Formats: sequence, C-alpha cells, structure tokens
Amino acid sequence: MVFQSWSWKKRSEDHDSWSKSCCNMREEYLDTWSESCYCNMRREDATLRGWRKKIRRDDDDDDGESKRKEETPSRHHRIDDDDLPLINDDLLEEIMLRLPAKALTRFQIVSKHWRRKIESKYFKDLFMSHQKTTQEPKFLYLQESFLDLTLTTLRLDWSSTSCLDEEGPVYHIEPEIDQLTRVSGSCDGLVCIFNELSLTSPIIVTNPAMVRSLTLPLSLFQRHCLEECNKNVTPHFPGFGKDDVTGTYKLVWLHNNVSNYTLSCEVFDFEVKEWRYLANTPSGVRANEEPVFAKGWLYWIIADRSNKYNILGYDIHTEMFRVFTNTIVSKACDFNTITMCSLSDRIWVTNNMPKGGGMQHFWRIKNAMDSVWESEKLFSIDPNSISPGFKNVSKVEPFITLKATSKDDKKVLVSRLHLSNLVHLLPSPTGHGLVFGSAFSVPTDSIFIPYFQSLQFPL
Amino acid sequence: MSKKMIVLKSSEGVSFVVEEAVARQSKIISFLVEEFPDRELPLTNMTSEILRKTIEYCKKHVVEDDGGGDSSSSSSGDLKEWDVKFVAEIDQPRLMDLLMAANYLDIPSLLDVTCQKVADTIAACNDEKEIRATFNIENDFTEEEVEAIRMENQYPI
Repeated sequence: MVFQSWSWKKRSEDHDSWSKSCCNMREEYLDTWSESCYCNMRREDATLRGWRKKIRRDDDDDDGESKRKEETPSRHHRIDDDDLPLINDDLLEEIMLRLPAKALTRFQIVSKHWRRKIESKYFKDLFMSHQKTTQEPKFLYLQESFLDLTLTTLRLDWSSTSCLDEEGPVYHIEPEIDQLTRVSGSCDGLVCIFNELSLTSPIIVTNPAMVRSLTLPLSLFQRHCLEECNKNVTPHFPGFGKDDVTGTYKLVWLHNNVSNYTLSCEVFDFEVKEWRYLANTPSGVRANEEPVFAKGWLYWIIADRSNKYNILGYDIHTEMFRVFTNTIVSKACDFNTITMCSLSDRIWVTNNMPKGGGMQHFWRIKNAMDSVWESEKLFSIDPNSISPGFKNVSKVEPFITLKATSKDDKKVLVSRLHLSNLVHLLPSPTGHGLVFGSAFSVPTDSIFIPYFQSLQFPL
Repeated sequence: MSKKMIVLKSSEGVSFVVEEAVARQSKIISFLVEEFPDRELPLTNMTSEILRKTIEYCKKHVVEDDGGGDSSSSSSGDLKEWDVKFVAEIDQPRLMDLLMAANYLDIPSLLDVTCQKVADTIAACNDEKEIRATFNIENDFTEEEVEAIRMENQYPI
C-alpha cells in the first residue's frame, strides 16, 4: 500500500524538484519500510523461539553493540527482546508444506499449535495443491505377495535419465483379498483397492502417505452376490472421485446387465458412510469396466445396441448422468480399442491395437464440459518400436498407457498396460521420429499409477 | 562494460557493494533500487554474516543476460547440487536467519531451498522430543492428550 502511493507520487510530480523537497520524506519512508518489514517478521508464532535469541546475544558481544548506538534508536532494535518470536506463521507453513505427509501426521504431537495447523482444512488443501503443482510427478507402486500388499511412492525426475526414486513410507496392507488386487485411479492422494475376481471382498480406501486405510461395508450388490452365491459376475471397477462443490468423496460403482442393456449404479457417500442405488441410470447402453475421474466427474465409455460409442459422464455433485460425444471415441469398434485416462485433471483418449502395426495416437480433450468433446492430438507412438522390452511381449495387448506428461508436454512417461515396464520419451510435434529416454522396469505383477501425497482422509 | 553497483548495509552498519543484477533477485531490493537510486539500502534486521551468505547465493544464481548464458551460467543440475551443499554447510540457527532473510528480501528460490532444508531436518528427527529440543518448542500437551492423538492416527511404531 505504501509502495503504491509512493510510485504514484513519483509519477505525478516533476522528478527533480520532487526529489529535493521530498528528501526528508524519503528518509522517513525508508524507516517506515524497515519497520513494516520488521513488523511483518514479528507476526506471532510462539513455536520456534529460543535459539535465535541465543545467537543474537553471542553476536552482540562484538561490534554490533557500538554500531547500533550510532543509528537513530527505533523499534527494530528490539530484535534482542526476550519475547521476540522467531518465525511467523507463514514461514512455519512454508516449512511444513515441504515435509512428507507421514512426518506431518507423526509430528502433530509436537505442540498444540502444530496440531491445529496440520489438522486444519486450510493447511490440508494448501499441502495438496503444493504437492500437485510444484512437485515432479509421483506414482504409487503396488506390489503383491502372498502375505501382503506393498505400497511405495515413487518420484520421477525428468532431468535425470534413471528416473525413479523411492520416497516416503512403504505401506504394507494385509487385505482380506487374496490375489489379483486392482486399484482405482488416485484422487487427492487416496486410492481404492478391490479384488478383480472376488466381488464379495470388501473395498479398502487408503491414504498410503499417511499409512492409513479404511475397509468399507459391503455394497448392496456385493451382499446380493453373497446371498445368491453368485461370485462369477464380471465385475466393473468402482470409480472414486470427489464432489468439487462440497469436497465429499464418493465411490460410484456401475454394474452392467449385459442381457438387457441396462445399467445399475451404486454410490458410497463418505459423509453418510452408506451405499445406495441411483434411480436415474441411463438405459440401452453398456459401459466399459474402468471409469476415469477428472474435475468432479467420472467418465465411462459406453456403447448402445447399434454399437455406437460415446462417453457417459457422472457429475458427483448433482448425481446426474450426461452423455458426451467425441469423434475419436465414436470410431471405436470394441471397448478394447479405445482407452480414456486422466492426468492432472485432464482427460486423454488413445486408440489401442492399431491395425497392421500402426501408430497409437494420444489426444487430449479440450472441452470436457461441452457435450461434444473436441480433442487435440499431442503425440503418437509406434508401440512396436519403443524398446526391446515392449517388442518381446505377446501381441495380445500391444498398446501402451500414459502415466505422466511434463509441464510443457515435451516429455511423457508411458507403460504397457498391465506391465509396468516403463519408458520415458520425447514426442516430436509431428508425431513421428520419437526420441526415447531410459527405461525403468518393475516386476510384471505390480501396479503403477499417477499419484501425489496428501493429508486427506475421508473418515 | 561497467556494471552498476549498489550498496547494501547490514545491521552492524557494514556496507556490501553488489552488482545490481545480483541484488535484483530480491524483489524488495529491485523495487528499492528503482525508488531510491544511488543510495545505500539499510537492511536493519540482517547481520553481516547473513547478508554475506545471501549475496553469495544471489551471485551464484544470477542469470547472465548477455551472450545467451552458455559460458558462465551453470546447468540446472549443477545449480541444484550447489544449493544442497550451500545449505548443508550452514548451522541450524543461521539457517533460520537465512530463511527469514530470504522471506524479508523476497527471494523465492532461496526461501524454497532453506525451507526444504529445515523440513528435511524436521523429517530426520526420530521423535517429537527431538524436534522440540532442536527448535526449542514448548510441549503444551498432557500425556493423555498425546496418547489420544497417537491412537487416533494408529501409525505403527
């Protein structure tokens, strides 16, 4: 404020005469500036005091004392006061933002002030947006053994060639699920774990960074399956997302009734902690298995009786369904030939199994809010030319999935579906002549999803 | 070829002559240089030691405008390494002073590295007692309260 008024004065008056007449004011102003900065530093936080006082006193023993006396006495010399707090709240926040989620959970017991801060919704949201925007892409890496499920956080460093570091806690869960664990996409650092084969195993929601998980009650559909002893229904994957308006998390589970082309849909609301069926599900269509989440919506690819492919959207806030069309999706001839994914809240579409060894193209949706989705092609990859690792695998699923893009879209990280053999590469603007970076491989039975740490937990 | 120099004065009254481009990494100094050209800028809450450190950082991070920056500017990887070494050599109390200096002078990149270093120190502490001791924080929880929070978070010890 002070700064602005001064700039205005400077412009409005003739500079030379102004500088002479205002000489005194300038002095005053510099003083005011120093003091205002000092006041800013004084802003209260009693958390980190002490050691700085000590250091100040040490310094005072030498030349500091005499020099200070020459200057005009003003408030900022009270820096030696015993009550001077050290670090203001903003700075404590800056430091806390850079702590791993697990450390923040553990160190809530440092003081009441720390706990209040860490527990506040404001800080949790700030922490999440810091993780989202300023950090390099991170991944959650799930590996199954006979004993348990291991969740590890990995970080991608675009600048180095050996790209993934392990970081954060390693979380071991012992789910009541045997094998073939599947996981939903991550929303706000949370993931849902469920069993691909056994519909009747409970779903687990976990925040791996906080080493916390929650087992959900069986859904109505699951209970029905238990009663009927019908465990062989082809399961769909529940979609996990957040209501952008209220911040409530919801699990949305769409079930296909293939015989009569109807859908039924169950929702688990984490506020109410109950499953319920939705009445307004669209009919005359069937949906693909795996929904994707972006900006408060869940999306499935759907096909009607005449095999026309579109996108079905579900607004988590209003709980309404809506159909979107897109020229790329409409060219599909099978659910397997087209895949959607969500990266940093943007929807991507790719064609799988290109005929005759063609290119796999990656389009990004420009306007997910309009009923006709326009897409821009950002790059193309020949799945068979990527690396020897990619080549040797059987031809059943030759397509690749997108795992991360750099902020400037110049670099992408891809993996082969269900095989976490990773490669990062530089797509050229024309879509041809790709330059490949290094490869990172992990065991084939592991799952690897884009993820970031958060302090969210839907209790 | 001569570069414009400006003078910064520490709390002890010691003057530091710095190239303008170096000092301009501080948004506050950048502003003051325009408002008050040709005069010393008193930084009354920064000791000479901290000011020297801050200038050392700014010198390393100054972006050369001339010649495309290929000769003198370090690669981002080297710079990152240099930053890590830079903060590693500073003891805890002075690191906090430097952090506050970065905040006071508004030098975002220095604020980032110093905050990260303090965060790393906190994360490396074995327990909350160590943090309280390191940062001289008073424990205002009772045993029961601590136990309740522990139960609530159910993390394995």
